[in-house]
Amino acid sequence: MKITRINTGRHRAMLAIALFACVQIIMGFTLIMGDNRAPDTNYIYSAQAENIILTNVSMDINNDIEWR
Amino acid sequence: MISYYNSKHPGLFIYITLVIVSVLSFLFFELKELQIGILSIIWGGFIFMRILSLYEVSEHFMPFTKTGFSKSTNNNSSPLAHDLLHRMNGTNYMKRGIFALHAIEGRTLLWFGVAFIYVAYSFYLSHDLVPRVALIQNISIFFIIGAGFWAGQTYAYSDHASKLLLIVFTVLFGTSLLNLNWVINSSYIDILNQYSASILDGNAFIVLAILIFYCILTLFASSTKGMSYALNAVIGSILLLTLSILSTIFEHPPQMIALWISGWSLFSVFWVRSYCRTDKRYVLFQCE
Repeated sequence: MKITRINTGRHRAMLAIALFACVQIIMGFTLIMGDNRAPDTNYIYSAQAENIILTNVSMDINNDIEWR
Repeated sequence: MISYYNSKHPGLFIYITLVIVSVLSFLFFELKELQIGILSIIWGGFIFMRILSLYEVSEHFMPFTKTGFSKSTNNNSSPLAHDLLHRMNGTNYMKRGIFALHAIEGRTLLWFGVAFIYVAYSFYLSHDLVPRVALIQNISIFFIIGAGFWAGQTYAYSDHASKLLLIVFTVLFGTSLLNLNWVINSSYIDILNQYSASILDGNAFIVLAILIFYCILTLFASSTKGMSYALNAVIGSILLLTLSILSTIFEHPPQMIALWISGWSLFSVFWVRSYCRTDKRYVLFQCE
């Protein structure tokens, strides 16, 4: 009788990669469906863009204070 | 009957095509969420099929089982030669699959763990600043980079495939470098001007630095096994340092994403070949 060793660690690793792929597919479908609530949909995160947003916010606050 | 494993490297050309399309799209076109979504689905499907093929190789392909091939297809010839040839072919395909399974070893899974922490932490920090679709889009981009890195490892054990991957990805990496926007990151200048721990607080940069440090440490830990391992480790470390320095100092336009995809895909070759035993061993099996 042949005894087969089952490598559970390998199974778990494969399952993790398969889950990774599934999540990626779900995210792809979410992107294709789109989100109407988002004001700016063509936006790629970058540190520079974040800084611009923060700078604009602070400028708005300053303008607001000066106007008052 | 069409067998998937008659191909020496199943899916290799699909993988290379996917990397080329992804890199060139980010490099020369302004991708919107629709295009990134399609890319993400294709990448996810490819990774799923690849892991299924590896599962089949590891669990269901038994080189010692009776083939049934010789008697049913050619009664007049000697069954021994057919049987033996079939078994040797099967063993070769099996062995390729076993080599490819190095891609799911602990060190790669740990890489994914740290990368996941980096992605989760960076999006925890920025979830108030950017819209939800942009968050999903950015996570998809990180997943594409991870998928390119992982799938590259499943092919890089082979000498022929790794040479092909090296040539194609080096060209892509060079093209990305040439088209990069060489504008210095303003936040980097801030860090240089007023360097203090308080600036690094609440910044996912530290987790990324841990990831890079882990990669380099792992490469050098395995480089003690031999000269070829050490060579791959050194080249991989240089590539990784170049990639991280460029992405820290310069701005992050979409071209940087192309650099990351091509860079991490290129790095996967050195990552695998710095620890995976890739030399051929010939085994003679006794026929029943």
